[in-house]
Amino acid sequence: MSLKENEFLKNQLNITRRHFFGQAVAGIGGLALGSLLVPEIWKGDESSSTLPLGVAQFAPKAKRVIYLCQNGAPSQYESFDYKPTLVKRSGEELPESIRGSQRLTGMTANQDKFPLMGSFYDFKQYGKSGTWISDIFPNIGSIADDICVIRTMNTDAINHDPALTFLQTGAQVGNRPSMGAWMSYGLGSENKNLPAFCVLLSRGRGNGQGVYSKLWTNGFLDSTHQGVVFSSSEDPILYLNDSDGIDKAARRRMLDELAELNSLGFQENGDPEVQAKIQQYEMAYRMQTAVPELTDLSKEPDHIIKMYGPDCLVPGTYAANALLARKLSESGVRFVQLYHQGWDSHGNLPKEMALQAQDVDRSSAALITDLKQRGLLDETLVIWGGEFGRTNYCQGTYTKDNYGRDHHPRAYSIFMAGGGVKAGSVYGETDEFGYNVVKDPVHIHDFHATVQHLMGINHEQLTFKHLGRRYRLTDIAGKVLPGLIA
Amino acid sequence: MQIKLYASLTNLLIFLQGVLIFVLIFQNQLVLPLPFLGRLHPLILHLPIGFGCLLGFLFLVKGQVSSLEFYKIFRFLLYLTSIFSAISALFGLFLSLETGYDTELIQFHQWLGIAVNGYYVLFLFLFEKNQVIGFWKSFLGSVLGIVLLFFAGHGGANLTHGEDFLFPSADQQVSITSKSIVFKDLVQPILKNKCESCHNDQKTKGQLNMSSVEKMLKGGKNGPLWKAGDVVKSHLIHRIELPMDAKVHMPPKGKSQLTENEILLLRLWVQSGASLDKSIQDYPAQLGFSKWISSSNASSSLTPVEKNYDFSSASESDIASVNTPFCSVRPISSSSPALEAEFFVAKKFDVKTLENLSKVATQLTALNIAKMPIKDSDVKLMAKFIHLERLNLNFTDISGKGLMELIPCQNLNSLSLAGTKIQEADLVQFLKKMGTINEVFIWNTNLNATQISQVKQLFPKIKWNEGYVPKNEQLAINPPILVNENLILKPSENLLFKHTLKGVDFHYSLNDSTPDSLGKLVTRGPIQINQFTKVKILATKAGWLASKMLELKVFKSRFVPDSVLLLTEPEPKFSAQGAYTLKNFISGARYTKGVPNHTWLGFRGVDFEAEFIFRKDNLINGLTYSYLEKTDEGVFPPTEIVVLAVDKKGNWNKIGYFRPEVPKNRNGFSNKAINIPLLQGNYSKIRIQAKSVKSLPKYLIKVENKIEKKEVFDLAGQPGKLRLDEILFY
Repeated sequence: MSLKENEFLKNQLNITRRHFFGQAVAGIGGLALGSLLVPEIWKGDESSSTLPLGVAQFAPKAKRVIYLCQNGAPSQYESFDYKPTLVKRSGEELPESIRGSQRLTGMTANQDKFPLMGSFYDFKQYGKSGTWISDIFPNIGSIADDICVIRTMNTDAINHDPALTFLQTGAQVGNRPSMGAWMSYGLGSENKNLPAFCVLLSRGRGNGQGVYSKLWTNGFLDSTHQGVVFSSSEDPILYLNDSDGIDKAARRRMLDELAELNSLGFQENGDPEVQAKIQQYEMAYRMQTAVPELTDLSKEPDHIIKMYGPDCLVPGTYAANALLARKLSESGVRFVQLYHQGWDSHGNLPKEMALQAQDVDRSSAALITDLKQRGLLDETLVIWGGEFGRTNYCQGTYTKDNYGRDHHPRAYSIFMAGGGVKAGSVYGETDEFGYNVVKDPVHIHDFHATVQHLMGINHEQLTFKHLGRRYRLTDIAGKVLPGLIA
Repeated sequence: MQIKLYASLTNLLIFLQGVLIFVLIFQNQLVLPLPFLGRLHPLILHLPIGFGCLLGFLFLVKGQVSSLEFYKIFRFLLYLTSIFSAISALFGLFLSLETGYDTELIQFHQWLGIAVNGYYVLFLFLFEKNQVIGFWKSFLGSVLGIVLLFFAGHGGANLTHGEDFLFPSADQQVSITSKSIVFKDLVQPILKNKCESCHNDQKTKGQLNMSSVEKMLKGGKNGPLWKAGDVVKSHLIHRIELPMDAKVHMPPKGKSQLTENEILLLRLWVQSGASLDKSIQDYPAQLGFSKWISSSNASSSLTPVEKNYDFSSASESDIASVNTPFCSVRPISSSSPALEAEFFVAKKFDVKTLENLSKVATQLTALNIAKMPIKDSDVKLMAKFIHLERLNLNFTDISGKGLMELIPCQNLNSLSLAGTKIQEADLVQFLKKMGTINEVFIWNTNLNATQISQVKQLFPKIKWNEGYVPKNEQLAINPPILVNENLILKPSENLLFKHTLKGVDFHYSLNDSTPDSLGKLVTRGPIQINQFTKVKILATKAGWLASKMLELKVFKSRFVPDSVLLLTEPEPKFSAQGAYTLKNFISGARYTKGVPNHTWLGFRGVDFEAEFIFRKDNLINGLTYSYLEKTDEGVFPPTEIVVLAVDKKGNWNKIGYFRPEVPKNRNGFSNKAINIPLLQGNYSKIRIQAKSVKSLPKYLIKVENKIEKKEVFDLAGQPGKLRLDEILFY
């Protein structure tokens, strides 16, 4: 047997069970092209550790996720973790006993003083739940009874790139599948005309940090699970229109022939990525009809536009993305991931944070209200938050009305809404300096486990074998936190 | 034959009695030859009970058969009862030789069993000796047998199922509050239900007795049941979490298994220290014991409770056949027969897909057909979905007349009608027929506030969703969106704006005045521009405040020269595309030092002069000279601009002149342009001369740039620079 044939044989023997099912679904050749839904239910498999794909393991509380990622790490002290002590003791040195052995970033490690800094903005209690929310988020305050504020998020990383990667993929190193990719893999797509995982980007007016495609990567999963980035221009998906002289029929013929050629290639080399490619072409073809409906705002009543704020008519803004996120989610997209840049307030925080809040406050609240009035909030999990928190002490020299805050991983705040989380509640407690978790910590792994649980997935069982071992979003950690679940 | 049968049966009975006595005497010394015989005891024991009862019930039909017949049947049954009671007792003895049974209860049961056997043998003996004659003697004999059987049977049942089997103690129904003791009120009931039947005072399998806390703490033959805080080393958790197929999985295959929720609780309890007296509130909330706080029982669950349906799953092929790219039909979860269907992409909606759903009509519990162009007449297709619970008709074309078709769907509890043309009367009529509906979405319909409050009063049990009620606030609409990609308009181009909202007016001015919503220049279409113009524009719409004003500098070229000749030489670094730079319709862009920039034509120390040639004479009114002003780098406007044209005799005549203002301050990058009117006339050749600043003003002295900690060079006195963008003729 020649070396080459041997390799093919090896390759064929190596085809994993998942790939096998994948093929069974996609059909070999151009038969059942591009079906993202697994029509069969793989139940009663030989081992109980194998999960049925494309369908929830148990009745899910949430079917879809909208993740409003506040990229750059908004300060918890100016948003959801009210610390009057900090205001009172502003300017005093952070007690050594509170800081403990916490490592600092290169930006403040050389500071010889760590003056405590209270919030520039006042706080109010909102709703029946009496949740404390800062004055720069009045609209989010108005829906306090719909959200669950978590004050005790904590992470392992202290710099943006590893922290964001950790938040999104469960590992600080790159190239592990993102949350959305896992959801797409585990639950499949509801709407076969749109990707199961969509990514929307926007940029605020504060100090920004980059976003990169590794945050929405499929990692070692099939590339059909990769997040599809929507453009911030008026055409959210570029190159969807047929070029001049190509009509629908010609496009269809071209795709069919191409699929046939690709299938030949697949038979020869058995690379599952070829199948993925065929599916992606098919998806793009169907998106040609599905996407214009998404961008059409003519069916949106005026008061809905007002609810999100007129910015939602300007493509590429956070408000426009929030509205688009609702439309995508409503159209069955499993995981809509937003990133809003500009929260990295190392300096000039009072001004920058207010601008950032102005960008997101109204439309974030509108999104939740809008989902609610459509009866979708029960089945859609909305997550709002960044990759870590900010220090309770001032970065640089202490001045009363202008300051900055450095990165802080030990405790920070996010909020979630809908999708089976406890509405109108506050989870976890930090010390009076807001520096350490006192009660009910939520580690990123636990957060992932809980989100997957809400989606009807046992985080320990949704695995993928890669390079000889099984991986999961929570890898070897994570526990579901029942306290977050309604 | 008859005699032979009864002789054999008698012999068998005598033999069995012998064996029974033998086993009874030597039971401690015996090694069982066939261990499975003992296990047959629970099977065989039902025969003597059945036959014994039949002996009694036989008297019910005594009058209907002859005495002889009755005698024959009674005799045969008596033989059977005796023989099987003997076999049953014997097998029972075998079974008792296995370990793990409580001796006291088993002794009692054993002797009762033997007594039953002895009683029937005696009964048979007396019967055969004709000592039991007449109705009463035989009847009482039978009834006494049944009584004995009952007690023996009950004893056996207590051994097998546990003493609480018949009358479970009532404490399991204790409601769980935050003060409930986790062990006593949550953990112990589970153990009692699922484990105690084999590990109790009577039956201690694996030498483990779980009937009380003290006994539980002793553990079994493998040691203690749990190790506080260590799930891995706790037998209890280890055994219940093993796969069903594992030999030592507990409870054994076939016995009632622990639910996922129960396992979770036990695990959590062991993990958090296996405390015997902590109450739910003593544990940190994130452990989640509070999950089990409930009104009535401990089974409220982390795993959402799935609704049970009494219909069976649709076949996979049926599910596959109703799925199209524009209609997804999928099970609610992997274990549920219920299906939900969703339609996508209104353009591709096909009513046949809806018809086709009748294949899974029984299983469909949720249908989302929002935004699809369905009409009232299509609603009757949904009448078949009798198990439908959620129906979303938002933003469809139905008017409400069709709703009556949905009356067969008596499981419907959520109905979404937002954005439809539903009428109050139709809705009320429909809801009166539907007792199950508890949620209606009604926003964005024709129903006004009074009508909504009317229906609310009529159906107070229904949760009415009126949607977001807009606050009475005035918001500014967003400004018009410029469609043109380039602000240098070609001869045939107009200035085009659009707006994402419908019905938006654009108010604009072209003369640098501020437009307002009362201004005269209003349009929704293109705006015609004839020359370089500062356009100010804002958007208005009823119900909104006017938008922010947009200010644009729009260039217009009506006549494009066919060729341009540069008569002076540009700076090498700013030669860009040469003369073509002046007519390439690309506006000048910001540049950084060291990065080549091809949008500006630059001159330093020389004046700019160029000739513009048109193939034919044009009636040119003026020209736009666009340039860069960046005085901190010495880029200044020209001191004067002279425009010349050639007449028929070949002489150059001055047809335009302009003296731009000299900037008074240091400033940064700023695109500027000036319109220079020309003497009316037909021109085909035009020359433009722009004089550069000979000596830069004094304000450009040496300064220290604090941010970059660099010094900016003194430019005062040096010759200025020119940067040209476009020269456009109108």
